[in-house]
Amino acid sequence: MSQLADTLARFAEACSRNERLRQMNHDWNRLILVQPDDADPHWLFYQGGEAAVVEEGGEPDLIVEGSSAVLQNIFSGASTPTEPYMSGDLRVRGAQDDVMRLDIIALLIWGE
Amino acid sequence: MAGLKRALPLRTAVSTSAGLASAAINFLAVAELAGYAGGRSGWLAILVAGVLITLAAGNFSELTALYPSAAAIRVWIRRGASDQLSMVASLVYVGTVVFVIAADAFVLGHVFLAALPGVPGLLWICALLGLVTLLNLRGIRVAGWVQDLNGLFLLGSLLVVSLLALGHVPAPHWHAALQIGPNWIQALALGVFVFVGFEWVTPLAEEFQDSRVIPRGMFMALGLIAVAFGLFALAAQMVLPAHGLASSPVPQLLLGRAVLGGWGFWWMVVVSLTTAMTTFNGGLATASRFVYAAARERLLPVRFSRLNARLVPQSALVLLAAVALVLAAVVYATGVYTLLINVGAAVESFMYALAAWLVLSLRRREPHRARTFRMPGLPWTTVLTMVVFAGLGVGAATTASGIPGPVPWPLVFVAVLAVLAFWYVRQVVPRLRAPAAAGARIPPPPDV
Repeated sequence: MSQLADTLARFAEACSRNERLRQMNHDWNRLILVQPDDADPHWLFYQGGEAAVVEEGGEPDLIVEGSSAVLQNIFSGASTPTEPYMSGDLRVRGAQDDVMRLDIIALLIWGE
Repeated sequence: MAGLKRALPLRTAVSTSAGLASAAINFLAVAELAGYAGGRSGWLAILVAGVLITLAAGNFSELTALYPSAAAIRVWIRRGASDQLSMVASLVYVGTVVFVIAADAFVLGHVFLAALPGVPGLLWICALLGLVTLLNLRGIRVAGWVQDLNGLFLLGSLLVVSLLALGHVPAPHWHAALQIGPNWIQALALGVFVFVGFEWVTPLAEEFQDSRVIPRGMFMALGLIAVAFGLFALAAQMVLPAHGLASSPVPQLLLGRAVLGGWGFWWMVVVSLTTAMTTFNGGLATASRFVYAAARERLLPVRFSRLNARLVPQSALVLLAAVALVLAAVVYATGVYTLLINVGAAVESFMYALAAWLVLSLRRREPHRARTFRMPGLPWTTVLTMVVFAGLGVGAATTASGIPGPVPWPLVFVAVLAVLAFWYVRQVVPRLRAPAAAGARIPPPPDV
């Protein structure tokens, strides 16, 4: 398992354990494609308030793109997503409400 | 490139770009520029401004093709110039959105005062701005198709009413349609204001399957705006007496009445209402999310990143609505709405010049990064854009604003705004960022 895959698994576990997130996202069902610029893609599936890493998916609701290092830092909580997003190093495609929801998830897990 | 399950269509790019540019205050901008154009050539100033704006649209197209991001100018200026300039420009830019909301509130107040004279206009402003704020706070979003329909309704209404008006213009009046007065450059500078906001569709770039849709949408929207408002300017100058056009805060209602009587008057009341409400809604939604993002990166105090139970940035939304309301009340009481038009035209013109410079800078700094749209004719087209829009910006900032005396108040206003933003970025932002710089992360707030 790659380092990023391991980090995503921990991230999904943290999401599923967090009671506030479970309540907030109970009706937020989304497939998220995490696409490093320099490595293979990973899939994250959010359903019924629980998150899980899945092998592969169909058309995603959200696509998160950046270098492996940037994605690793964000999903491990080493840095906030805001800084790389504002500098263009992190790119997120999808509906703005979903993009904002992803930011809030990171905020609730690791703080500001 | 992987495809999104749900992506916005081209028509939303067109309607968003056209809808955000088509504010109710545009009717007053047309009336103001008609006064400067001389003869009845206001339409020509709008058309030429539209042609020049396509240069700006080309630059925004390349920037959004390079970095398709909701953070838009914040990212482009940071990559192409510096973080500090990016922060200053972003703060000034979001301020312009609030001015446009306030200016539209002023127009709306006068529209209702003309339609229902028994109720004070300021009461309508408070009620309608409050209603939009409340709907936003409750997380009720206007559906995309409603925005699409509204854009079509405005532009279609202008076309029909203007063409009906022009059908009755006697032949001798037409010779003045090409008469250009000595202040035509000022008219051209104000013509830029009619298109202001067309580029605010770029923050939606992440929601489209293909970032090439944004340039297409912007160019189509510019064509529609130029035709609709150009015809409106021509019809208004042909049908309405020059003094009536210049002195009325509701020229669209006058034209509607002149063409179709009471029906035309009420038709234009509805057009003004839907246009202003769209501006309120679009402006507040976009600006409040910008303020949220700015607070998340501690460009603004962290309290503005607080969300309510419906995940709406409520402190940011209430702050923006309150500022817009105060500004609208001041403008309503003093009647100096031309100050807002001129400031808006100046800030946007300077922003278009800056966007041109960013295209050049990013071609040099990041020559190998993929671009799905490339501005043709570099460097000459971008240099031309910079010179033209810097000049038009100065022109708009030094145009009379309705306040007596020789002081160019729009220029003073823009300068004070920029200096304040610069001071804030230099003095306040480092203090807001001090905890993060020390490696501290604040626990999640209980009210998110």
